Amino acid sequence: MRPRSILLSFSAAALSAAVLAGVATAQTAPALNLSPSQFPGILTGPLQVGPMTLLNGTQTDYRIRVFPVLLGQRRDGGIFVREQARDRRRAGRVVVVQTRRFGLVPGEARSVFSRVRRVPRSGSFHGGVLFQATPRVRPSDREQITNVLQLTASVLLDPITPRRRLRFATGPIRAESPEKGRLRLLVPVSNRGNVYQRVGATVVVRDGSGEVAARTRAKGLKILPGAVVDLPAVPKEKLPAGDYTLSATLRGAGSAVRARGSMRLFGVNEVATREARLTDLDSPTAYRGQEVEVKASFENTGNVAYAPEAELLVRQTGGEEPGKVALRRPMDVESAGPGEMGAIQTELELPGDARSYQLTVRLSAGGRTIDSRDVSVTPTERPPVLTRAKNWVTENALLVVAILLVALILGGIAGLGYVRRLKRASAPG
Amino acid sequence: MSPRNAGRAALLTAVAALALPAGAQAADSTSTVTGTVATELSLSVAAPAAMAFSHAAPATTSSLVTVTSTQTLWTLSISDNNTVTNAGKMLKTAGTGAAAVGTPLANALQWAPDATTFAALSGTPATVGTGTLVGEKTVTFKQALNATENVTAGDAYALTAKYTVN
Repeated sequence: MRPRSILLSFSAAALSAAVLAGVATAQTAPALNLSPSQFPGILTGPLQVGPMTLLNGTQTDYRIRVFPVLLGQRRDGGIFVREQARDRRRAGRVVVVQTRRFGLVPGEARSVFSRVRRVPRSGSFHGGVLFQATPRVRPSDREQITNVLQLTASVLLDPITPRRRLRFATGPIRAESPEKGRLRLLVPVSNRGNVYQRVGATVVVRDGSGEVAARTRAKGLKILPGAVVDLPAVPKEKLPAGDYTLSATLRGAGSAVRARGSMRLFGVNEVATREARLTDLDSPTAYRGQEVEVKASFENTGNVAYAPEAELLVRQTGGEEPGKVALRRPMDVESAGPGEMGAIQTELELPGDARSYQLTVRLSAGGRTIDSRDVSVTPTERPPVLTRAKNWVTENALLVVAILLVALILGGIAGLGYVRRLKRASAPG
Repeated sequence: MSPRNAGRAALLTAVAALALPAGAQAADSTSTVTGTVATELSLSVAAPAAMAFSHAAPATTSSLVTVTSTQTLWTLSISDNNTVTNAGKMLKTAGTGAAAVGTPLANALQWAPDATTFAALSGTPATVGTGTLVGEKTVTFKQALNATENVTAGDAYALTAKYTVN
């Protein structure tokens, strides 16, 4: 074992020992606890990482599975676990865990070591070890909604100094008004190097004459290699309506990296903001060999009327994880004003003959994904006409009753009129 | 002892104490106890109460999720543990009704992080919320039946929700 790995293991062991010692004397919350949950370090070569100690402070008997995983990062800086099978396989080529599964009864703690087998070609590894806890229950005791808990210990290993590559790129600076009178500038930064590095930015706003109207600092965020993160900067100044140019210089990027952009304010700190979120995506009814109608709705969370771009992605899920995108289809979107709802829909025939499909509706604005939702659909055989008619009547019972009622009233009125005419005709003289 | 003699004795005792080597004195010793906050992540999810499904109105239930962390930023996400066929839908687990065990309900189980913005649960993790240090989130579930959906009283349906925190 190399000196670095010893240090990592030792510090981790000391910390987990401290946590367990604390557990022995203090009352713990009824939770599943993982400590240490972060292993930052330098990847000098194969090394041991751990121990990671999982403590069951609940009253539930758990079955634990342990996986090496890769981490990803959202544009707001939040870290997530890449859970797809191919990402797990990639992580497994670099990291192995000492124990893949074990039981954990209430009050029990168990420590697990993992080992980085080799240095990846990139020179760094930013992943983790995921602990998946499934309650061990008899089928008769099964609850309606059972909770599986997953906790991740992050293993964030930067490369050795000679292999460090600090490379950052930027995109055009965007401006948005998340609420009335509040301006936020977003500097998109892409980490193209191999170091998990904190990067900030200084943003300068110039008015039409080139004078500096505002100068602000974007909050520094640690960015994973391969991720694109928007660094947010909020100017203190109240900027009047007009055209502005934006420029930013990154801090912590290793070299001078700049970004540019422009914005047009239509009021004090008010910029046209195109944001939306999906509010509804119902499971469509799908019959084999027939077109499926996919309907969704969105809320315009921006401050101008617009129709976001929407796309439907279809993946086959025949008995395993969703595969690659088999079909992409642009969707029809109606325009909606700020705070209003709009409808999204399309019709398509599901590709292939899979048992089941995953449909993803993705909203985007200017090439940037702003929201997405998934829904599973399993095509069935089309029922006979009589059954469909019965279903239609049952589903539209109110409408049918209303139509019958209207028909009854109209019939009654017509009948009364006919009776009156008959009486008039049969009246003497 | 006269007051003068008593004063002399006290003075002599003080001088003697000062003249003694440090090691011979009964000295107070101090030790500093230090501590460092370890990196830690805890997750606690309360079991939601069982729902009673009805064609008249969607059934709802909720679950309190508590994240305890020493990290400055954590993310909690939810997904159906079943990522394959009928992901997001509750499946029949028991009962004497006509539907076979394993048959899904027509509609996906809906969930909301704020009891208002419902979304269909799927096999892809969706963010419940982010937070720093210790935080709580209440996840509300809603299950609707279609008007023509054939379900039998007493039949049990279940789903396994997966919560991931990192």
